[in-house]
Amino acid sequence: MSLLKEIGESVLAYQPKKAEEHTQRALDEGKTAAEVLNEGLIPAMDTVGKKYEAGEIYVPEMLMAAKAMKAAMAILRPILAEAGVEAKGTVVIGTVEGDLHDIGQNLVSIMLEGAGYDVVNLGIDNTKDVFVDAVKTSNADVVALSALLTTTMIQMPDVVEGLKAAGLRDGVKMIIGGAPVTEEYAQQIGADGYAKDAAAAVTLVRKLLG
Amino acid sequence: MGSFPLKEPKPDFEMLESVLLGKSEPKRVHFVEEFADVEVVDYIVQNMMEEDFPSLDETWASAGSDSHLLAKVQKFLAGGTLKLIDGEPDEIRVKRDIAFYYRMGFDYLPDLAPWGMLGAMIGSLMRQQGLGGGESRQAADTATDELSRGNRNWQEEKGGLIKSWDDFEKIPWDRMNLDLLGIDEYYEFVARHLPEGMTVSTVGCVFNPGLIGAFFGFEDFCTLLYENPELIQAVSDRWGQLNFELYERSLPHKCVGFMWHADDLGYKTSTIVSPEHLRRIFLPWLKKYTDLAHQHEKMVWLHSCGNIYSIMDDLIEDIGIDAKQSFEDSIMPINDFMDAYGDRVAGLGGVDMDKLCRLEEDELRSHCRAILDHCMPKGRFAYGTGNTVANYVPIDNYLIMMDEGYRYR
Repeated sequence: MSLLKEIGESVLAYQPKKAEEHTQRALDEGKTAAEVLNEGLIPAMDTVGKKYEAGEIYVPEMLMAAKAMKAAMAILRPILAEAGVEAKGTVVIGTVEGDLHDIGQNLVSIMLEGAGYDVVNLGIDNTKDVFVDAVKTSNADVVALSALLTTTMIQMPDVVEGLKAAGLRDGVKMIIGGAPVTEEYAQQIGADGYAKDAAAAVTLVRKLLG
Repeated sequence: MGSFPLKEPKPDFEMLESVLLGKSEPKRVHFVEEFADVEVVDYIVQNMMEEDFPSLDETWASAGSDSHLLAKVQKFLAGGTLKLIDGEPDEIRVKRDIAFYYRMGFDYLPDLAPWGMLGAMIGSLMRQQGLGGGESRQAADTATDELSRGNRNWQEEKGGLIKSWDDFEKIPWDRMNLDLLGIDEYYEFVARHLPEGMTVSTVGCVFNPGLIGAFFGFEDFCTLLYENPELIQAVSDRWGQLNFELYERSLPHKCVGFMWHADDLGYKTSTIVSPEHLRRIFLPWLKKYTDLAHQHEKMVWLHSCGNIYSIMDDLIEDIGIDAKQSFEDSIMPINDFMDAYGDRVAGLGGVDMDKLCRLEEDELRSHCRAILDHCMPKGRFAYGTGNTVANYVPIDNYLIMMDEGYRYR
């Protein structure tokens, strides 16, 4: 098995230590950081996403795969930055004001990073102004909103309006998700898409950014 | 929507049981809830009922600043008891809750108090040992002003009280003595005040928000499943056993009508962890509880949020639950559930929380009638919200939902 494939296998076997060791070995043997990322880690995380979407794995397995990916990325990130390798895009993500449930959006962040995107994770309980500022300062391509409750979901249109008022809405794609959220609601508030889970969010972002 | 509170309720738990077990055709709509938030109970009691109960502010404050409970916990930590009935505020709570559920047409008193007190016992002992983490997150409550509790507590999702074997060893499991809760006295008190025809539920919860909430936190729980599964099993064994002992003490009481086991096992698209993990860690406990309830000839209702349909056959065939509650239209509406499973298990509730909160009166009435039209003729059905009467449900909408049920023939 090639070393890059072994890196991917260690992610799929939920083994952070091995992912770290294999990554270092690959670099020592002359592979570039971009090769490790694009041919080892990203395909593995794609597989994780597909398995999750197919109901073959669950949140614990996704978190363990992400832990392995992060162990490898801790080695690769400074090298990629130094080499000027650019991410596929930037996504600003957070829960809306009054909503403190962040497991879902953390999973989306993990999967987007695993797919090669830069993620600005704002965490929980964000006002529309926080989203607007983050989109502005990060020059984001996508803003992703999450809500657990019916009563917090209704903050989402405020963020849409905030981005419009700041003149940013046309330059950024907006996606939403969370327990009470539906495709219908996304259309109703003028979002560009809805994702039912973390794997679907990656597919949606890829589609929206072309 | 003037039907409630009812002037002359006629609770009949025996009939509800018979309907849910498929032994009788429903002669009327029976109402079910796991519970109504204390703010909803207090609002209706204070504003719509003639009974004279002190308001929450006058007895003890709402969630998060329960001064009476804090005083009891302090007494317990100093070597005393942690009795469920220990002073007037406890008596008022029971009497007020009975009055509320009676007048709102229920055949039983939904009651989480014994399990809640067990949780207070364990939490206080663990914190006394210096175990930290698992505190609730807080944000401004998004409920309407009249029902707002100021801040809403949200479960901490990263980590909990236990992170290692060292933490586990610090826990004084031997001090978790259920004798100190005064459970027999509690049910004797409840029985004395229950109207004829009503029973009380006994509630337990092991997995969520137990194991993956306070004990480990969800993210740590997920990684420990792979990195230290023995630690999870050890806590599950202890905590599962404490819940078993709680059921052992409650089920023999005649006033306890059924077991309502509440464990959120799913989220929007699947079970929270794999069915295999649930079968290893949690379902054996649920089987044990169910067998115990059935030995006492009492039903088992399961509350679980989320998509748990990958384990429905386990729950119905292997474990033998009698009824399932918590339905979300974005996962599986109650009507579809009754079509798929209604011949094997009862369906409870079903009015989707999002619709209950946001629909206008006409739309909500129409939605409720559609559920009743579909589910009532099938039998093995009782009616209520898809989850609980949370404080963010507009009171008017709750009363509209209840009114549709009351007027349904």
